[in-house]
Amino acid sequence: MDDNTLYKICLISALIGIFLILVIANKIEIKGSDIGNISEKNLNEKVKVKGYVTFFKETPGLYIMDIKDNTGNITVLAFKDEKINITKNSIIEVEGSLTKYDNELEINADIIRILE
Amino acid sequence: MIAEIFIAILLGCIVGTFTGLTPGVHINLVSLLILTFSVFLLKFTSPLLIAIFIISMSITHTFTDFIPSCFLGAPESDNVLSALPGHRLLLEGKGYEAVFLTVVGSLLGLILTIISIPLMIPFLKFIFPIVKPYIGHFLIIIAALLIIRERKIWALILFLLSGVFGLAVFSLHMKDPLFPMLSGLFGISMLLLSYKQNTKIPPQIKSEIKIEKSELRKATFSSVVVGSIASFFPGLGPSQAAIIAIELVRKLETKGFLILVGSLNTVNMVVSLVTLYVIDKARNGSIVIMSQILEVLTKDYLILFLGVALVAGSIATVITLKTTDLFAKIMPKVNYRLLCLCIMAFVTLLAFILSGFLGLFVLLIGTSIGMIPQLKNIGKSHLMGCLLLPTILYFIL
Repeated sequence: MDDNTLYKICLISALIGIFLILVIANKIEIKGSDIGNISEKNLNEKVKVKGYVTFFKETPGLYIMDIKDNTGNITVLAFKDEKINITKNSIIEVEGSLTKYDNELEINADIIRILE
Repeated sequence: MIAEIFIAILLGCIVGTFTGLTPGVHINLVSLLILTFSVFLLKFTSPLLIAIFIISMSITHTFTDFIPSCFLGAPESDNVLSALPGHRLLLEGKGYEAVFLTVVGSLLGLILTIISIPLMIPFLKFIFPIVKPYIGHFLIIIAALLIIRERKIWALILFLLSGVFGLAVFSLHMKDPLFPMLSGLFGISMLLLSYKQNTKIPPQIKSEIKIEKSELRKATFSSVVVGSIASFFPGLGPSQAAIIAIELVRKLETKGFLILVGSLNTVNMVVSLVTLYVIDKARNGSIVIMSQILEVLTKDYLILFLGVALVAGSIATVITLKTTDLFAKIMPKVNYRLLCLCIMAFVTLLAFILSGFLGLFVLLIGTSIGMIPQLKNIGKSHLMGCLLLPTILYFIL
């Protein structure tokens, strides 16, 4: 066996690897959705929404906020791992898991990006 | 998303090359740093991308880590019978061939393990709980075979001595006990003898490497089977798997041995992902840390990670061969005695940083025990008693 044989095996396995990545990445990528389209059928799934903050509250362990877009509004919870600079009317993008509390849908945020 | 995934893979390959080439800098250390700073990192990236980075780094590390162990620890030719095969080939001017064989093992091990995952999952779910109570007894048989094969009383003494040493080190509850213990037994002891005997590295030759197909088959299949089974059990790592595989596959020649050793680390890394998915337990430090960041490993994630492992393994193959080529050109020109001194100083300093004064003490004792095999001309594998004896006691007590 020489270097070239090994490089050929490498190339084939890399191509198979890239194929697997392309197929799965497309499947698991969290597509952004309108808040109004989120329903109970998305419960426990990862969701991504964008909107402006209509309510913001800081508790000892959590940030609680409501965000709104043209189609509806939803509550977002985020653990207070660090300070975030969000105020009322900030425009943010949230990625997280959809859960239900007191019959209301809410998002447990993994990532919050402040857009404006 | 896809561009970000490939950037994470490339970054993982770069860091994995660094950790593999630097003695003492382990991927667990880098993974732990990532976990510590994960809150900060998650502001810019996602848990999935961090997981991909860790997997890519871990796979690359298992390819590149043989370069320093082969090129930076060669003993004098008088002791060549008891030296590890990689060092033996280095002293024959075949350092490139030694690393090439481990790369063949790593790449084929990676591909074969991924192919055998559909068989592995039912085994893990149903057969693993039945076999688990007998693993300690099985290890006793393996240890007995290891000692009997040498037919020297020193083999038994060395196995028990290193076993008791291992038990003592683990009972100290010190930080990072493995680094000073294994560096003493296998690293400093060999470097010290090389320094004393004024070892010189001959010019390295790069010729076509002939591997018999039967040898290649035996080495890769046994490493995948034994490496996979060993990865299912707590306390059994690639080192213990190597001893089991060598005992089970008799008459494995130097080339086959290097392919087998090269394969085991990579197999362990991939199977850890499978155990995490099936029984929610990872048997590998960096994969444990990755699971803490990712929280949930779904089937889609597992398939994605296997794709990442294939791409990272392919990149790592190219990096390792190119780096080895460079090492093979540079090493004969280097003052090897000075290099030995520098590496010994570096490892001693790392042992102190990682484990304090206790680490230095363990390093000293380990070095003393580690010199016995070369002085008595017996195999260094008996030193693995330091891990095997505590593992046997863990399973049977």
